[in-house]
Amino acid sequence: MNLRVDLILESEQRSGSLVSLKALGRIAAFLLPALLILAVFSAFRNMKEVTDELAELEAQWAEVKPKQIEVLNLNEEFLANRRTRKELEGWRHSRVDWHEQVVGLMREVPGTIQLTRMRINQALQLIDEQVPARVFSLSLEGTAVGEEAEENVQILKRQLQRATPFEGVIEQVEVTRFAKDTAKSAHKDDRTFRVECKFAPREFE
Amino acid sequence: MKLPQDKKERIKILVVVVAVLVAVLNGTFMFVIRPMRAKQKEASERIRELDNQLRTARTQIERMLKERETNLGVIRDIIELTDEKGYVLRARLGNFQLSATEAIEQCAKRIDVEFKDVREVGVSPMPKAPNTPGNNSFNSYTVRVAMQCGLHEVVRLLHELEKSNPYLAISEVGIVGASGTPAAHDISFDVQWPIWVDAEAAADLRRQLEEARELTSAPRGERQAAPPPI
Repeated sequence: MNLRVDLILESEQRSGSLVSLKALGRIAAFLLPALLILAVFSAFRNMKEVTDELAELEAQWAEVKPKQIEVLNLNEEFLANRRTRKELEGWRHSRVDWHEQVVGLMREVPGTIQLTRMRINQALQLIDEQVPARVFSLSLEGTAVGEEAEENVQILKRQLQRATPFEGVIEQVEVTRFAKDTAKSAHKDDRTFRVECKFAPREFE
Repeated sequence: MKLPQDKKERIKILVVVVAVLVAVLNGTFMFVIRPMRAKQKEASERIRELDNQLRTARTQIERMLKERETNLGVIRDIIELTDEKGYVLRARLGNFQLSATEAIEQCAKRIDVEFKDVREVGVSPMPKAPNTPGNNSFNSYTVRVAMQCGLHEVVRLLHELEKSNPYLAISEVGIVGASGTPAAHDISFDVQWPIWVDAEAAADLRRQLEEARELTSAPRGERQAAPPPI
């Protein structure tokens, strides 16, 4: 059997713990409001910093935005101008210098061939439905005299394919007519012919 | 202030104190800190957004300033080619034929070649790449020149025309041997010039040039160095 005797009154009892609950309460009573005030103050300070920064940026934006709009409008105009210059350059790229072609023709036509008609036509087309281009065609009609009429027309065809200034410019050469010359003054070996040439498309770009 | 001796009373007071404290904390958080943080978050997002916008705007402005000379060069090129050198045919009171005839006459006069007449074929639109934005700036204006001369004369005239304007194009040529005059042929050829689709385009380009000069020479905070005078 155990017997417990309290020799001190309850109010005289002291805690054996190193940390006093009362002291903790007092500290907390001071600390918590202080922390609260600190948190509120800190929140206000942060808010003010952010608000100030925002106001500064808004002011900068108010200054920069009109200029940006101006620059964007100007940029659109510049892009349109570049397209205009490109379009104009397309006119230069897409043409054929016909004086060179006709001079070339005068030089390359064999002496026994008499050209009676020459026709150059231009068609404006979209190559592969994408690139605008001039497509030229050349039609030559004439008479080839003598026994070597066929050979001379073949020579003309070959020269139109290979000689300068036709090489790389003319894409396709075809003799579409080769027939006996029915003119009264014609010799039995004389022939009339038509040569059709298709030029390589001259792109605008 | 002393806490009551009674443990129950003491606990009651402590509970009330804790409850009040929690209420104050909660109230402060709910009605002060939280709305403030929400505003701060909103402001921070706006700051980020503005920051990005400003960076983008400044990059665009800087790029524009760097490309200024190129861009001004493009405008000057177009003005020079279309207006000053006259490679783009200009109408006289709406009449292109007068200008076209004059251009051909000048070439013919230089090489002493005569032509019979110049007839108007008309204005036609040029093909446009489907993926290109905007409309074409140029249409074509075509005239037909008729001559009766030798091949050498026509070659010289074609050469003179092509030399005088790198943007005009000879689009059709027809040469038929004239009966009775073996040295002369019946010749016709079409000459095509670019013409502005918009008649005010040239004036508009000059306005743009002025605006670009003003914009890039006005003192602004974000420009690093003043551009040289144009």
